[in-house]
Amino acid sequence: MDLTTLFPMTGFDSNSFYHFLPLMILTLGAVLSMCLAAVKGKGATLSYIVSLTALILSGASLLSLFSLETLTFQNGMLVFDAYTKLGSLVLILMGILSVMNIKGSSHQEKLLPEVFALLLFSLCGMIFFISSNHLGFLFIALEIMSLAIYVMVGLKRSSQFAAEASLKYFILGGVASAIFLYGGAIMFGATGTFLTNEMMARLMTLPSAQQVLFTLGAILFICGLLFKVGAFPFHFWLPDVYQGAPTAITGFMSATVKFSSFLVLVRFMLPLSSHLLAEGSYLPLILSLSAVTSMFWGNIGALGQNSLKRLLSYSTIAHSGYLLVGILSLHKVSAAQDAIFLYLLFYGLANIGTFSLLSLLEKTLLSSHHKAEGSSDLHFNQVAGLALGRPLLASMMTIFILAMAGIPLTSGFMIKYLLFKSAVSGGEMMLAILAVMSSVISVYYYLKVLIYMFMKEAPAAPVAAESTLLNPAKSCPFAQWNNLFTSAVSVVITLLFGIVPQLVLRFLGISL
Amino acid sequence: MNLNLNQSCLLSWIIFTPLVFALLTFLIPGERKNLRPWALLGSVVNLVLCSILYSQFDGAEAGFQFMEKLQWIPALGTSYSLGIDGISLPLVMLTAIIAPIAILGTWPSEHSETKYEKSFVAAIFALQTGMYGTFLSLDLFLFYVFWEVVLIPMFFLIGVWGGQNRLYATVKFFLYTLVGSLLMLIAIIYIGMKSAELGGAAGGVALPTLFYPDLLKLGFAIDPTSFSSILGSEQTLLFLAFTLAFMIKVPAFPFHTWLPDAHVQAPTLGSVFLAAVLLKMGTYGLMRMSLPLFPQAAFALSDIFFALGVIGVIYGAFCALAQDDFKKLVAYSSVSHMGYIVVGLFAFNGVAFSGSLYQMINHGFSAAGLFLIVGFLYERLHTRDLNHFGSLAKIVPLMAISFLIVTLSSVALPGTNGFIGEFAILLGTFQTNPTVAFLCGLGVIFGAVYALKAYQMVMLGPLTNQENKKITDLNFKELLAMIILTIFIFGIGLFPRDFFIKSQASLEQYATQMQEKVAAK
Repeated sequence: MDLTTLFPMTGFDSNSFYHFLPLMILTLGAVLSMCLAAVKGKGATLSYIVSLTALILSGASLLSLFSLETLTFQNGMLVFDAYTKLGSLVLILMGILSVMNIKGSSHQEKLLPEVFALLLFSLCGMIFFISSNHLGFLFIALEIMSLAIYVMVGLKRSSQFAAEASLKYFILGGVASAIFLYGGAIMFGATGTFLTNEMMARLMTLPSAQQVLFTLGAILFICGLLFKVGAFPFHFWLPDVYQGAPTAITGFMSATVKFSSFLVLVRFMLPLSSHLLAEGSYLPLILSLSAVTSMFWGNIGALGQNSLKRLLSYSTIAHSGYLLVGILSLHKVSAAQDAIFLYLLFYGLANIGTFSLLSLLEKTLLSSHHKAEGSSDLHFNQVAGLALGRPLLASMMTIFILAMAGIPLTSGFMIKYLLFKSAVSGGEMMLAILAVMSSVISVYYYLKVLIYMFMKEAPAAPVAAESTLLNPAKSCPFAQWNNLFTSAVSVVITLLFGIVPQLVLRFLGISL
Repeated sequence: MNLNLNQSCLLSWIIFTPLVFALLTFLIPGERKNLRPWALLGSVVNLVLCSILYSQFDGAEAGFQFMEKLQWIPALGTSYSLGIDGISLPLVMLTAIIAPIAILGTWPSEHSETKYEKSFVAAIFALQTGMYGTFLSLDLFLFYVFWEVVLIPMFFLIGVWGGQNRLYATVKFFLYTLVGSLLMLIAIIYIGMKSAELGGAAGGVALPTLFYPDLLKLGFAIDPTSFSSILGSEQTLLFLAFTLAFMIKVPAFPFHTWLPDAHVQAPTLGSVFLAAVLLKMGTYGLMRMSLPLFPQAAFALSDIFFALGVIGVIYGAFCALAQDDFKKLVAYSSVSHMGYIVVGLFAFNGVAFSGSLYQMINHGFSAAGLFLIVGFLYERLHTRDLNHFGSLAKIVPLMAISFLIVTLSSVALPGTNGFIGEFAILLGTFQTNPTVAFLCGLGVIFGAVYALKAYQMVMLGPLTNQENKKITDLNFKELLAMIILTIFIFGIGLFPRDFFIKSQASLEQYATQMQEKVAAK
C-alpha cells in the first residue's frame, strides 16, 4: 500500500514514516495501555508491560534513525536533527526508568493503572515539543505534555495533597500556557512567521518599533518556559506540586519536563540569540536576575526544609538557575548548547534515581500511621541511621547527593564544570562566581542528608515498621526490584560520566 | 619538553593501592571489632611501594620523574598526568611513613569501643588515595579532583567517629574547604580557556591544556603600575582564587577557625592525618601552584601574606597558651607552626623555600607525635582537660619521654627536626625582610612557652587526680610508633642533608626559577 493513501499529507514519504515511527509506537502503546488498564485485576500489570514494550521498541526504532539525514517536515514544523533525536532518546530512557519506578510504587501509592498511558502521552508531547520550530505546534505539544502531567500529579486519589498539587499545577500551568501562547502570537504579529528559525531573517528587515514588539513577545514566550522549569519568579508552585505528587511521578516530571522545556528554550534562543542576547537588550538582564534569584532562592529555601521531597524540589529551582547561566552564554560559546544538554541529561538521571530511592524508602520506612494520614513524606529524622539498616540504599543515595552537590568523580561535577566553563568563556564571570557561591549553600543541605543517614541514630520505630525495615521483602516482594533497578542504572551512569566522561561522550556522539 | 614517561606506573600503583584495599575491606566477611592489622598491612604495602620510589628517584634530576600521562577529556585539556619531583617526594614519603605510625599509635585495646570498623578502615584507605593523588597530580583538573575527594573520607571520619560536637565540626570543615576550592575551580576553568588563547597566540596549537609543566610556561597578564592595577590584574585574581583555597587548608589566619573544631572532634587517627598530611596539602598547593603559576602577583602581594603568616604564628601561639583542652592546644600550635611555612614561601628566597619544605615534613612528624600523645591520654583517662592531668611522668615514664621528645621537636630545639625548618625559614626571611623574621622569632619563644606549659601540666606538677595513678604506660605498638617518630625527629635534626638530599636539585631549580620570574617583570 502506498504511504500517501495511509497518510494523506504532502511530503509524507517513507523517510518521514521512519522518523515518525518512534512517536507512532509510543502513541499506539499509550492507547493500547489505556484500554488494557480497564482489565479487571490485571490492568496495572498489563498496561505496564505494554507501555514498557512500547518505550523499548520506540527507543530501538529511534536508534536506527541516527544514521539518517536531518528531516525537516512541513517547512520546519517538525525537525528531526541529531539534536532532537538524541533528546528524544534521552526522554525515552528517562521514560523507561520512570515507568519501572512508577510500577514499583504504584501498589503502595494506590495509583490508577492509567498512569502508564498518561506517561506515554506526555512523552509524546515532549518529543514533539523538542522537535518543533513552529510556534503553534510548540503550544500544542506543550499542552499534550502538560495535560497528561497535570493528571498524573493528581492520580493518587486518596491524598488531599495530591489533589491540591494537581489543581495548583493545573491552574497556574494554564496561565503559563496562556502567556506562552500570547508571546507566540505577538511574535507572529511582529514577524509574520510561525517558524522560530525564520524569525531572525525577518527581524533584520523590520523597523525598530516592531523589533521591540518582537522582544516583548519573546519575553512572554520565555516566561512560559521559565514557569515549566520552575525558575524565579515562576517557581512558587514547584515545592507544593513536587511534594504533593506521588514520589515516582515527581521524579519523572522533575527530569523530563525540565529537560524538554530547557531544550526548547535553547532551540528557540539559538537562532535568535544575537538579537535577544545582544548588548542593550532587556532579556539578558531579565534572565540573569532570574538565574541569580533562582539559585539563591532555591538554595536558601531548601535550608529550612524538613521533608526530603521539598528539599529536592527547592534544589531543582536552584539547578534551573545554574542552567539559565548557561543559556546566557549561548550566543558566545558554541559548547554551551552541549553543556546545557549534558547538564539536563545527567541531572535528570540523578533526580530520577533519587526519587526512585525515596519512593522505595517511603515504602519501607514510613509506618502505617503516616500512611493513614495521607502524607507520604519522608522527613529527615525518618532516614536517620539508614546506613546501618540499608547500607546499599544509603550508599546509592550518597552518590546521588554528591552528584547534585557537584563533588568530583560524579556526573554532577562534570556537568557543573562544563556549564560554568561555557559561562566563563562567554564572559559571564560574575554569574559563574555567584553560581559557585550559591552551590556552597546547597552543599550544606546536601550534607545534612548524609549526616542524617550516616551519623544519626535510627529513630525508635514501632515494631511493625522495624520488621519491614530489616526485611522489606516481606511486604512487597517484586516491587523493590523496579526501584532498585532504576536507581542502580542511574548510579552507574552517574559514576560513569563522572570518571570516564570521554567514553560517555563518544557514545552520545557529542564532541564538545 | 622531553616527557620522561615511565612505563612502570609506579605512581598510579601508589595512589590506587589504598583504594583497592578500601574496596577489599568490604569483602571481609562478618563484623569485625578490630581490622587494624588489615589497615596496617595496606599502609605497609604502600610504604614499600614508596620506598621503591624513593630508591629509584634520581636526586640529581630537578624536573619531574616517573611521569604518566593519559588523555582524559581532550576537549577540556584535562589529562591523567602524574609526576614527582624533589618537592613532592618528601610529602609522599611523609604520607607513607605517617600512615603506619598513626595506625600503630591508635590501635584499639580490648576495652576501647570501635564502631563500624570496616567503614572506618575503608575511609582511612580512601583518605590515603586522595592524599597521594593530590601530591602526585600534574594536571590541574586531576589535582582538583583529588583535592576534593580527600574531603569525603575526612567528612565521614569526623562525622561518624568523632566526639560530642562532631556534626558541627565536620560540616564546618567541609564547607570552609569547599568555599575556597570552588573559587579555585572557577580559576582552573579560566586557565583552561586562557591556555588555549595564549597557546594560539604564541603560534602553537590553540588547544586548552591544564597540564602543569605546560602551564608553567604561560604568563598571565599583570599590570604593575599601581597597587590597585595589580589587584585588578588577571594574574592577581587567579592567584587570589587559588591562594584562598590553600590558605583555608593551611589554615592561615583568618581562615583557621575550622581547624580547632575539626581536630578536637576528630578521632585520634583522623587528627593525626589531618595535622600531619592534610594541612600540608595547603602549603604544597601554595608552593606548587600559587607561587610558580602566578609569581609576580605573589611577589607583589607578599607583604600581605607575610602579615597573615606572622599573625598566624603569634596569634596561634597565644591561642594555644590560653587553652585548657589539650587537643585544642595542639591544634592551635599547628596554626602557629603552619604560619612559618606561609612566611617562608612568600620570602622568595632559596633558603626560605627549602626551609618551608623542611618545615612541612617536620611539622608532620611533630604534630603527629603530639596528637598521638593526646590520643594515648584520652584513651586512658577519657579527658583532654589539662587540669585533670599532672605528675604523670612518674607513672608513665615511657610516655613522658616520648612526649618530651615530641615537645622539643615542636619548640624547635637544635638537634631536633623542628629546628632545621624554622631556622632555615627565619634565615631566609631575614635576608628579605628582617622585621618579619624578628616577629617570627618571637613566635618561637611563645611556642616554647605553651609547649612547655602543656608538658608541665601533664607530666609534672602535683598529682591532682587520684585516677591518674592507675593508668598504664605505652604498650608495644604505641611505643613502636613513638620510636619511629623519634628516629625521624632526631635523624632529620642531626643529618638534615641526608634526609633531603634528593630534594636539593629541585629546590635549587625552584628557587632560581622563582627569582628569575620575579626579576623579569
